[in-house]
Amino acid sequence: MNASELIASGLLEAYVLGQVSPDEARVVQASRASDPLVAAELDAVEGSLQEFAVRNAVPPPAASKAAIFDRIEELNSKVKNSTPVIPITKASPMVAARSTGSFSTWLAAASIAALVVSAAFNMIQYGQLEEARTEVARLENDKAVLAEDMNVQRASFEQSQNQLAVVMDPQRKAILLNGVGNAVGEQARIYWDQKATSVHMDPMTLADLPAGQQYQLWALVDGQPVDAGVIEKGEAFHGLQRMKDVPQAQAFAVTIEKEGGSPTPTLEAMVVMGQV
Amino acid sequence: MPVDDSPLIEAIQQGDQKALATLYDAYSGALHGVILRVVRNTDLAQEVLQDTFVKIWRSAGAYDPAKGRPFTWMMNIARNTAIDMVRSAAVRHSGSVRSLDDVVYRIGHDDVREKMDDAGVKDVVLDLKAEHRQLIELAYYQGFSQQEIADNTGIPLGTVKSRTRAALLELRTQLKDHR
Repeated sequence: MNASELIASGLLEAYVLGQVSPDEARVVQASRASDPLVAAELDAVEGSLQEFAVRNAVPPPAASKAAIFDRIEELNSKVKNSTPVIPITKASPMVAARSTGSFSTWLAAASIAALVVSAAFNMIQYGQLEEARTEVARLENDKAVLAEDMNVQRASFEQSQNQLAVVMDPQRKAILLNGVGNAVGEQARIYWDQKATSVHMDPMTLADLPAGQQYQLWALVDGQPVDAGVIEKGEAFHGLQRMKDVPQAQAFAVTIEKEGGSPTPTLEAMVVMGQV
Repeated sequence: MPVDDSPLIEAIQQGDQKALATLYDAYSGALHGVILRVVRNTDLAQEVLQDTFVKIWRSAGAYDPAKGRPFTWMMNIARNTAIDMVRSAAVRHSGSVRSLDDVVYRIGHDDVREKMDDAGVKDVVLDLKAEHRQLIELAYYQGFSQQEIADNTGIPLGTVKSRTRAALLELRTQLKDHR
């Protein structure tokens, strides 16, 4: 995805709203670092949500602030006064001093030492168990992510295969539609099977439209425009899509209409056109 | 262009409580507003606000400017803390997480808006399109993913994506107009 595609995709908004996967977040962060356009757009999105929140501010009760700083003071003092774990080495001279040769004191000291060693061993084992559990959870998560990825890849592969079949079909005529008026530079392509009358449309570089508007394809038959269907928005927009069947035409054109399409084309809103 | 708050976060990383107080003075109202819209209860909102600032204090070291500006980071902490609170409270009370269906239903019936008005919370931007308001509500205040929104509203995922962008663009335009 280049910068303008990324901006038009809605991914930046989803990123700021915290709705993207870690992989998508990395894509956005990398683009933000490398592309000033993306950085500016992200800043605008963040800015508008910040401003929205500031405009909708509701002052909290005055006591709130003091309560927060009390909790922070408490946290800080806990860190300072937290009793350190008594090191084993400090305990042993005490035991040694009291053991005045008597076997039973020696035995008591030895059993305490054994207990300490065993407790330490248990703690280490427990720690390892926890680590293993975390690792298993992480691997399971990785597996789910990979499976999900594979499904997405498979669907995308099948879609590409289908599209390729249309594009490669020798029976189909490819007609390039070039931008007109304000849309000079934009391109789309029609694949027309004149025998079967089926029409496929590749919106190629047509820009995404805001809500309320939709592209509509027209077949020009003896100078008269005939509706050939609206171009799907959203996901389906970026790929080949099947339009209405067209038995005959001398040219094809795309106009911007209201969402759902119009019975007759708005000629001044024509974006691309091409002769058969 | 608003002021850059990054130096305050850096100061907090060094243990500067005055910097936290400055952030609090600047943004406690904005964050409290967001939290109130999520939890819809003044007592819970205060608790979440306190948790939020304690988290900001404790995890300032995790703030990464490459990911976004400080306010976005703080707002996400506030929002996530509030959403966690609502979801765990819902589990405690009814044994199940409030389903998105309910939320969609209630938004459809403008119940949310009434409740917010009850709590004295009024939106500055009121003339957003209904479909845009719904998306901002679900994504921003309820914390639902785009897939969850698509699954539960029947709106195709692609449309949820493009509509989220359209919603924020409309928000941007209206904020400019109201300036």
